[in-house]
Amino acid sequence: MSILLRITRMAYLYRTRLILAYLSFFIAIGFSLLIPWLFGKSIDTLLIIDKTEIIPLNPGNGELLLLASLLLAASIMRGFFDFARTYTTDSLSQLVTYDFRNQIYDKLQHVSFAYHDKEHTGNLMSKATADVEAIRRFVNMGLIRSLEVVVRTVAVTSMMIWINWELALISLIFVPFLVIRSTLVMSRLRRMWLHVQEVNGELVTVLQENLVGIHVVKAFGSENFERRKYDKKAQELRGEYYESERLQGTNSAWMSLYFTFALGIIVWFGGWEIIRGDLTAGEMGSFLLFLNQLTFPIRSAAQIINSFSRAISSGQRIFEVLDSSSPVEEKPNAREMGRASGHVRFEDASFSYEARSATLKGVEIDAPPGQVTAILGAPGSGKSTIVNLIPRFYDVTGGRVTIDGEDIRDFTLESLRRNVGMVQQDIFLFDATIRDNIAYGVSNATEEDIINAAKIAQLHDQIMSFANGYDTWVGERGSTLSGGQRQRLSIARTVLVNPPILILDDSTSSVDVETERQIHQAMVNVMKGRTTFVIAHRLSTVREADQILVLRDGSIVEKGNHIELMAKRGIYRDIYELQLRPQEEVLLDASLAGGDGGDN
Amino acid sequence: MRGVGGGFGGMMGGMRGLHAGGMNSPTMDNLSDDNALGAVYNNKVVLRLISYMGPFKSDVIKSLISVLIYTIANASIPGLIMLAIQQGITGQPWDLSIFGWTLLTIPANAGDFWSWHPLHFFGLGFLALTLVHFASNYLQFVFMARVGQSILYALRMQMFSHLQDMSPSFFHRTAVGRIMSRSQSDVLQLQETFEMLVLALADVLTLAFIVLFMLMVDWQLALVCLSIVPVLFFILGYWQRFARRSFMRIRRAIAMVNGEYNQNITGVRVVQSLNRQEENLEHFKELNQEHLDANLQASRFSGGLQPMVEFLIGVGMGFGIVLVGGIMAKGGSLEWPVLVAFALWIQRFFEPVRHLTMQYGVFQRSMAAGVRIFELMDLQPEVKDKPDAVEMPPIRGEIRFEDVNFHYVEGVEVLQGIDLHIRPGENVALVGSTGAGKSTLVTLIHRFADVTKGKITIDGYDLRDVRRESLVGQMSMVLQEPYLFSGNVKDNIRYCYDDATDDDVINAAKAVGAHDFIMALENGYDTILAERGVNLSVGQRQLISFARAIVGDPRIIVLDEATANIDTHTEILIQEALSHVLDGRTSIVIAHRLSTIRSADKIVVLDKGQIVEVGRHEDLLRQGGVYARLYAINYGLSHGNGAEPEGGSLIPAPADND
Repeated sequence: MSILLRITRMAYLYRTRLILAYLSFFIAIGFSLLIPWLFGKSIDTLLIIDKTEIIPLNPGNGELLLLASLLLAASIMRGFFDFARTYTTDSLSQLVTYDFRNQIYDKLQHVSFAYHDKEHTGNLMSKATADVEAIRRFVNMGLIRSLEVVVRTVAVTSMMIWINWELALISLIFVPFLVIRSTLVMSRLRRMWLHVQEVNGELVTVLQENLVGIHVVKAFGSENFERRKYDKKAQELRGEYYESERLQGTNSAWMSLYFTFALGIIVWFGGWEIIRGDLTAGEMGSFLLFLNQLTFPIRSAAQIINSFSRAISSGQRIFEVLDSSSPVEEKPNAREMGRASGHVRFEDASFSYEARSATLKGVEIDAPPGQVTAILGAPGSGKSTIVNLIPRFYDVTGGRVTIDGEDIRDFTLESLRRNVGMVQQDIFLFDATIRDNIAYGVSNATEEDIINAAKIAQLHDQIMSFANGYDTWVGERGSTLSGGQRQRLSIARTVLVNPPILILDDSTSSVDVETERQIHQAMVNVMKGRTTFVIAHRLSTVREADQILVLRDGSIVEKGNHIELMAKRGIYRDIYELQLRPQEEVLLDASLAGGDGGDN
Repeated sequence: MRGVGGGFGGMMGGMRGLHAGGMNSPTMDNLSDDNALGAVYNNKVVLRLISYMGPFKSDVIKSLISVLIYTIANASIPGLIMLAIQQGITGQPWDLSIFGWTLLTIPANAGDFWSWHPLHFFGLGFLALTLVHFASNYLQFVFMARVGQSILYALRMQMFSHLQDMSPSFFHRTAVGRIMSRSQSDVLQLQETFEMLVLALADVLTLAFIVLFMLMVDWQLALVCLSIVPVLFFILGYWQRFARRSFMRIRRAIAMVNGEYNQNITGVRVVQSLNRQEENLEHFKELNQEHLDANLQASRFSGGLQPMVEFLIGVGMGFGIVLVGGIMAKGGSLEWPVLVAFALWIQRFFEPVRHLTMQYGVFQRSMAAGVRIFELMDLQPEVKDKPDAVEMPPIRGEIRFEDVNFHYVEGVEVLQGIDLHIRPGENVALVGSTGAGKSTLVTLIHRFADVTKGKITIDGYDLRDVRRESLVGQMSMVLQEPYLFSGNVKDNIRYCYDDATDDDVINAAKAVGAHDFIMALENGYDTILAERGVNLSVGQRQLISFARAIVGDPRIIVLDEATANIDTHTEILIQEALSHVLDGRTSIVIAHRLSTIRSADKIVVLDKGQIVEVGRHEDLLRQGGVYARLYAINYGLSHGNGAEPEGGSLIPAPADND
């Protein structure tokens, strides 16, 4: 209930519209009641039925014209106020969802990585779309329409009772049952629909996996196996779909049945009333038209009731996002960090978290300004976690991290992150031009700055070779850059910000020798004069680093430069031996062969 | 979808080289634009869609009959009310006529026939009509749903089946997302079209019967009341244009809003790292505002229709029925129940009209969807079994390339004059620089594409003469980037070999050294893999795909050595597994590891699509040719120029990228 209240409070911000919506449907209902009444009135001015005899009254044409004009006027007024109600209601519900969208968007870009680690993109997207839509429907239906339906039902019913209460009772007695029944059906339908969505999701998964893994399918010749897999799901879906459609059809048919039946009752029972003299011909006419006016409210009652329960569950999911507290919060008295000289220290830093990130225990690092620290370790040993602590994508759970001697938690996030640049392993390009992607962190960068950054990242020449140069569109809807190009674009993006502290995730995923060189050169360029942390895969990077940290299970097990660590004969030496042995052999073989093939 | 893109790109192997040239053209495939909206009616699409109804003819006919009965019942309700009032109360006779011609006369006091009060007679009649109305209404839904779902199912299966026949090069040219949207949303749209066709038919019939009944009852008054209809259609047609435009605007706006959402969520790490939050919010607010404006505009349009319709009903009821009808009734040329019936008919008239105009946009979308679906279904697969293709007998494993050429585009040869003989059980390493054609060569053995010149034989059978499934079923391939399906570990290893027992699965896993780590997983072989196995390391995924490759005991194995992102431990496991797995089978390895290359029975060096050297490691090194040079470059030899850092990687990974 508090959830609905909270949504209502959001709507209350636009109370003028809310009040206008209520006012206009009140007036519209008033005019719409006039129409059947005027219609009945005009029949009654034409004739009187006495028992089974019709006695014409011969009214003047002027009287009929007056009634006709009034009827037209009432229709026009009703139409106008209906429009006013529709527009105020729509705009109110759109404004509320506008606010919700902005809030969710902003929240999502501020919560820490820990939150995003836990939440699937698809799930967040469905909150931002389907759940917001459910809120819109609630504002529209639950907040305004529901009242309108109640008022209209009460008003029309009262009119019918006023005309002839026995006839009203006998023709409307089933309405409550009808509403209850269709509400129950609706909630069952909703469950069925959720199930249909689920099965559909499974079908989509089969399809998507098949398409993405089509090379596996082709390699195994398993097309028929895949067909059977898809067929099974498609058949299941057909059955589920059919059942839900049938149920919906049944419900709709029952609704129609009732209204047809009620018309029959009015004619049958009303006929007797006319013969008995308790009802006039015109009254029966209005009665039939009034019943017609009940069709819409009764048909939509179930939907409205349903919109409440949907709004509760959707609202809950949305407020979960809006209310989530980020584990990384700025202190109220956080200071601006100026340009740091870049002395980074980890002091007995530890980190543990239930989600994907690895844990860290008692990490001690001292990285003086301008030095390069290489971090080595198996996947899951905590390499990424260490570097993610520096820009406070996560916060330490014990100990502290300092920059130039001060705890990083004392600074504003914005100023801290301005000082820490990061080239991530998972390179994300935005749906924009190359220029916009490079300038992503510095929106007022000049053309010269951008080109310069691209040059440092060894990317300028390749960009210029594209037909549209820096205006080449990349990202989802644009052309795809190769892995190596993406990585250098990410480097350029970071260079432009010019941070004194730099984090590089140097992953060598599937690039050829030439690209490999370019990337390496870009990295050498960019590391100059910055305190750098490299998650290293390249031999050269590791060998040239000022210090090498070897991680295992969240602890630093070896620390030192290449020569020191080689002398130690520990893990580092093992890794080195295992992975470099082939290179040593190449040298040996090549000299045996007497060729100087490496010259190029 | 990012994960999808990544996995896809990596797996494309040999198909990549040629198409990378189209860097600046976002649509590299030969399918038409997804967002284009065209005609409201496309004869070809409609006819073809109707052809899908063929197998469900009897259901379609039942559905049409129900619709017909329902619409007649629906339109005749006011008529029966009229008769009931007229006859039941005053007992007057009634002529059923059209334009003055009498069709049928209901005599006075018709109910007296059974010596009942006429009101009871009509009451029972009404009850009967109610039941017919209900039954036909229900059946109309049921049959429509049945046919609609059957068509949807048929379309889905046909689409999927067709996709299975397409060659890998098609999937390289065409983004997965576009195929997905065709086989999901477009197919759904077509199914909706079918159901809508039935509903539209019902609307048209309802209108026709209402008009017919009104004319039958009193054609003069009917013409007066219906004179507003052309005005209505004119207004609706005019309104429709604006409404459609504003709905299109909403669709665009919501796509932008959702796109920005998606981008912000997936790119959140960069956003936070580069402090873009404020600017992003500003940008998002603009998009959101546009969405709001578009909706308000649409609301004005759709809401604006309301006063118009009400106005027209007012004219019809006020001036048509009350004034003209009233004057006619006064003059005695019209009975009063006619006025009631007309009022009810006019109210029933507007709902179908509104429906029909709203369906205009749906029709337009449907035609576009139909065009897109049939366009995809009409694409011819590049590799097809011959009608007289034979079953491949059990393979011994002798592979021969005889003067093979291959190209994707005429004149740009990817492979040229390949002559290669691989003996059963031989272990061949393929070596060559990026773009040399290594991946293309191995995929030809699996008939991912057909050679453009020369032929490839296995045990003397030309690949094109045997059924592809019987051939490929006896071979396997391990791709550089392992790909797992959702489901558990066991199902992933067994994959399409339905008759492999659990023991077979475990043996395969043991053979490749995956058993131990699998047993260490939470539920062992029954552990459910998260989305494409992200809860496993790349190396572990690779081990599972190794096991999958041998569970069917293939005679020929093709291997694209995985090199990147594998931790040392798994690396050793894989190295050991390799020697077991390849033993006793013909194998072709796109080799990156020195140990693999050195131990190969035969090294084939490819350069620019041609075989330049064949031989054993020591021999080739001694020759000092291409192999020796490649070898030196890729394994980190740097000569003399001290400024240039070493290009080698700590993990020797000169991965294949052609």
